[in-house]
Order: sequence, then C-alpha cells, then structure tokens
Amino acid sequence: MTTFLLELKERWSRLYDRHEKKILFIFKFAFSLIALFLLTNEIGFLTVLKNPLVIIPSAAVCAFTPGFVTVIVLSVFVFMHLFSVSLQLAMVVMAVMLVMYLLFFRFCPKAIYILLLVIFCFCLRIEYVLPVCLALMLSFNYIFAVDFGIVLFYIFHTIGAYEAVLTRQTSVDKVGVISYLAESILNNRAMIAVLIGFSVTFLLVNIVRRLPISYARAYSIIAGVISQLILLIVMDIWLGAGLHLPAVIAGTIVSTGIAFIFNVMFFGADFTRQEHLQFEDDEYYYYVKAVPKRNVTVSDVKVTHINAKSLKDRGTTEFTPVDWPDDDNADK
Amino acid sequence: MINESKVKILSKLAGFEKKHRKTPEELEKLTKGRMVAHGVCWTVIMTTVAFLIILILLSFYKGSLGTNWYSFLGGSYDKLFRPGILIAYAAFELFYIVVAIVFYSKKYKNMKKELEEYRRRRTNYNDFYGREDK
Repeated sequence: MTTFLLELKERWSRLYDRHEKKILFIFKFAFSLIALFLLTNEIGFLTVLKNPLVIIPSAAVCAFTPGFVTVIVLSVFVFMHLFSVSLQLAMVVMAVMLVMYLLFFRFCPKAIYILLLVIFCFCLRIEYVLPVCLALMLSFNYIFAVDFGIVLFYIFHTIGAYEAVLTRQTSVDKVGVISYLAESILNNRAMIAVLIGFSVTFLLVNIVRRLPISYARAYSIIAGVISQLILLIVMDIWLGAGLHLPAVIAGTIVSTGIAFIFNVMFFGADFTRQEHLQFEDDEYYYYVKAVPKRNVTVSDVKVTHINAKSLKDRGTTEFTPVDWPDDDNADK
Repeated sequence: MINESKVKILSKLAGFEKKHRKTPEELEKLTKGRMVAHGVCWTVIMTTVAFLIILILLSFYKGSLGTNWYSFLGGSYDKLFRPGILIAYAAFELFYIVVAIVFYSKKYKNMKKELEEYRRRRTNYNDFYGREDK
C-alpha cells in the first residue's frame, strides 16, 4: 500500500512536471466554476448572476489570471448578490471581510486560499475532513484562516436561509432584519460548536506533529481524530448545536483515511531505518537522529512494437536471406 | 546548446529579484529598524481603520441602524472617547504592534539570508560565466 502510494505520488509529480500549465489552468477553472455555483446556491439573489452564461466566462477569467483575481471575482459576486437585496447588508458583509483582511490576511496573503477552501468544503458538506488534514500541512497561524472561513460560511448560510424574509421587507424594515440576522449568526450554536471543535483539533494536531518523537505525525492524526469526535459530540449535547452526528462520524473517519494517505505520500519517513549518531567538534557535542525518507523510483517502461510484415504480404512463403557483403569485398 | 547550470543560477537570481521588487543594492541599505518601523506604521493605520469598522458593526448589532452615525453618538463625537473604548483601542493596538514587530523582524531576517544567497550565486555566476557573457 505504501509503495503504491509513493509510486502514485511519483507518477503525479512527473505528470505535473510535464503538463504543469494545463493542469493548473484546468484546476483553477474547475475550482472557480464550482465555487461560483456553490456561492450562487447559497446567496443567489441576483438572477443575472445565476445565469451559467455569466458564471462560466467568470470562471474562465479566473483560470487565466493570477490567484488574487479569483478572490476579487468571488467578492464582487458576493457584493452584487447582497446589494440586490439591501445596500446595508452588502456593506456589513463587505465590512466584515475587510476587517478580516486588515487584521490577518495582510500578514498572510496565501491564507485567503485556505479560507476559500474551508467555505468550499462547508458548501459541499465535507467540512469534517478539514481540521486534521489542514493541520498536518499548515502552521499555527492558519487557524485564523480556518475560523474566518467558518464564520463567513455561516454568515452566507444564515443570509441564504432568510432570503424570503429579506426580499419581502421594505428598506426601513431591512435595517431591523440585519440586526436580527447579526443576532442569529452570533448566537448560532452550530457555528460555535464547529469553531471550538475545529480550532482545538487544529491546535492539538499541530502541537503533537512537532514533538521530537518517532511517528509523531501518526500520533497527531489519531489525537486529532479522537479530539474532533469527542469535542463535536460534547458540544452538540451541551450547546444543543443540532449537528448531524452520523455526518460528523463519517466525515471524521474519512478524514482519518485521507490524513494517513497524505502522511505517507508527502511526509514519508521510514522510522524503521532511523539512525542515532553521536559526534563532536571544537564547540559542540552532537546527538543526531537521522530518519531516511521513503523514496520509490518508478521505472519508465517503454514498449516498442516491432511491426513485422507477414510473409504473405512479402509475396513469398520462404524466408529470403539477406546478402551480406563478403569480407574480401568490404575492404574494397 | 542550453547550459543547464547557467540557466538554473539565472532563474534563481531572477526569482529573488522578482520576489523583492527592489535591487539588491537598495535591500543592502535597508536596516532592520527602518523596515520594522515602516511595517508598524502601516499596521497601526490598518488596525485603526479595522477598529473603527468593528465599532460601527457593533452599533449595527445593537440595532442602531436607521439613525446616522452622528445621531447615534448623541450629536457629539465625545462618545468615541469614552474610557472603555480608549482602553480597548490601546490594548488592540498594542497587540498588533507586537505582532507587527515580530512579523517584520522575521521578514527582515529572511530577506537578509536570501540576499546573502543571492550574492553568493551572483559571484559564482560571474566567476564561471562572466567572461563568456563579455
């Protein structure tokens, strides 16, 4: 299994090296397209922007341009959808996003992609896969990106749920509805339960994987999975969060599998062949533990088909020997 | 025939220049204090804007929409300078100033390391290929 995964990783690396631009283009297009459709599904108030003839070219623009353009296009879509309902609502949501940028994302711009990924997974209802898998790859500071992603998703989700109320209200009543929406979002027990559960799991996995012990990553996955399950179940019972427990359990089990696959493919260290070394120089004594990486070379198998013409096509049923030049003649 | 090692060195040199958007000479002159001070100034401005936005959002949450911001303050901006709000602002700014100092110090240290690496590669390149280019 380990060898298969490592060979797969090697093959993908080679494929990516050969077709990097095409793969990136397809990935960015697919991601932008799905993100725009999911966004429209949650807060699709403006009919024009729900049209695939608008969404598909927008996704194409995101595919051809740098990553920050995707963020801008998604923000514009959010603003336009909310503006069609209420200017104040659009301004409030934009203000929340601006505060997130000013306080965190200006220090860590790449974390915006993690925020998008979090919202993406929540919209696809595969959110329980996130904390353990992300914590294995990212550092502590990305916890804020995960938390902001959760908050933004619940903002969009709550606004989408109140669509009927928002579209019916007059402009004066809408002002009161926004207050009511803010109250619903801040007192959303499911959001609080998920925020606490995911944050603690993320921190725990990050702490355990950095411990200077063998198999630290494997222990971190197990610790993360157990803590996620226990915390979410406890939060659900204590807060009455209304989480769908079968989905929590199924998502956590799937995340375990994915996390172990990531661990083997991207962080493969063979602890069975570790060595302990000890040496000194003029200044220090060195106690070193060296753990070799697991590497597998994939053979390049090239099959050459020798197309021999059948003897019938040659017009003879007998083998005709080739006349080789005599050795005497060759010198001449 | 492409000289692979020459292309590799040039690519890494170009990567450094693209990342920092300043010439190595300008980066050499940049001191840690100046970089951190510049970063802290921008952070103070951005976090002040963020704090004001948070105050406005809180007023929305407390249901003061429908009145304009000035009426909400009771026709006077003195409400903005209540002790509670000033202490909260001071604590908020102090936290982000510490974060900015740590962040920009680390950024300066990394930049210096990359600059050293750049200089070393540049010297290697000039030693091996300098005559060829002339």
